[in-house]
Amino acid sequence: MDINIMKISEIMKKTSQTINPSNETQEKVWNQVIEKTNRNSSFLYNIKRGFSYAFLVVILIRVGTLTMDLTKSGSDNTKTSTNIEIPNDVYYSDTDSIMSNSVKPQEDPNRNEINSNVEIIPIESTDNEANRIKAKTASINISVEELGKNVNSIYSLIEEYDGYTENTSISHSYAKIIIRVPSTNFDEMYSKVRLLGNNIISEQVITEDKQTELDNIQHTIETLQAQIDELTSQLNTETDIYEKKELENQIKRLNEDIVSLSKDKNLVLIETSYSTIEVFLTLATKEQDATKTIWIDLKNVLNFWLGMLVKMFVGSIFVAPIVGIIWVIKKVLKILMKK
Amino acid sequence: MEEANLIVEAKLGNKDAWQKLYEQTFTYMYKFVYSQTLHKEQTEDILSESYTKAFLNIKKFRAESSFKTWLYKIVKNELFRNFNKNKHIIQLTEEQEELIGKEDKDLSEEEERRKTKSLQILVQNILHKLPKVQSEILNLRFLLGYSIKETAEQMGISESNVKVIQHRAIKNARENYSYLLSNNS
Repeated sequence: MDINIMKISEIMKKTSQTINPSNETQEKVWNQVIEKTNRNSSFLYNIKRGFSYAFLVVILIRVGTLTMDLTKSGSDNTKTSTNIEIPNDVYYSDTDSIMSNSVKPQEDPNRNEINSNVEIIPIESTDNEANRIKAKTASINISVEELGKNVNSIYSLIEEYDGYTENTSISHSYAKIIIRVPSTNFDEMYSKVRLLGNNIISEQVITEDKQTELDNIQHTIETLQAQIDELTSQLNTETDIYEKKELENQIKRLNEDIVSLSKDKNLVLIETSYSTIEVFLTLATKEQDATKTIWIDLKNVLNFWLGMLVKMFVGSIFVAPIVGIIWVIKKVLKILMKK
Repeated sequence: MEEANLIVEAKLGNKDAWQKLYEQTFTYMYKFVYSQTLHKEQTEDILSESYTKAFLNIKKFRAESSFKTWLYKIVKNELFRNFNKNKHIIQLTEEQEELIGKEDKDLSEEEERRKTKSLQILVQNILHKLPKVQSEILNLRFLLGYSIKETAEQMGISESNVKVIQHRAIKNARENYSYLLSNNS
């Protein structure tokens, strides 16, 4: 059998003749078509489709939000992820304020920490650094199942660590307690506060190094004291009564400055002797959390698309005249062609 | 009733008009799909899905081409969508190759039936080894019996283009199956 155009066409034509649907097949497919058409145009089917699309939209919103979150976290490399391992150390950031997380909490597999804002840049701690005087301020938002129980736990901790409550406000779903605790006990107490509740919604620890400020004050006091000593020796040898009076006045002013600086130094020491912990307890069931999250997500996505629409609208203002001109030229050319 | 009237009626939701359009086109579409799948149930699924889509979207049909052309595009898309998921190409056996080479008069009734099946497999093999455009031209020209002009209209290309592609398709098919044909010559 030699192959040529005719042969292939012959084979195919012959095959075509052999492929013949039976009446039964034709009827069967027709019934399927009618059934599918009725089903696809039914109210219930469209409702189902509506739900499917709604589900798809929710998934898209979630994906969109996740993408936005990823973009945000990608732009800020210093921020930590949720599952960070927090070293038992003090950390310094590039800025003047020092962010730290002092004590690593005990590992709990059921604990889900979200949106932890602790900025961590570890450095080797030295004895000098350990002895430095620092003012610490912590703010922590914890999701809890029982408000009363957790508030009592905080009060027990305050008592245990010789602290005191600066301010308390409690509602049926929310509690805010501002605690002052001796700086020496801060790390230990804060680590215990972190273990309360279900999960940490957000937290921030700011450590401000006051050592430099104190050193500066002390240095100024010493300089002033040296000046006073010098002036006193001059005063002892001076015979001129007017010069003596002037020296006395200068010494008096310098002494006043030293008193003022000493007060400042004491204030700093008092300030750093106690640290502040702001504890926010939020009563949130899982359902409430989910609703809140979806609502925030929806808001973010709506904002995003609204922004896009505004951009498109602004863009169309520039594009519309060009399209209009092209359309007019096209029409004119058409008329000319007809003529 | 003319096709144009049937379409108007079908657009209005007349199921009798639908059925007539279905009857007029079913055999063509069946041949086209079956030649590619060689599977009865798969062919039926593809066709029922395609006709459902066609009838649900008939309001979008603007009669710029014939109904058959429009439907063919729907069937073709559905075939590629479905067939890509469940691709099943049967390979020719030596026995089948032998049967293809034999004259019909030398065959018993049973052998003739088997030869028919072997030819269907050969056609499927030929079509699947060719690029999509070439296999489509062979399909339209020889399986569905379209003229060059009709094929050009169906594919939206010029007649001379159809001739060129057809020539290439046959040449490729020859190259692919020369071993089979020379053995049986």
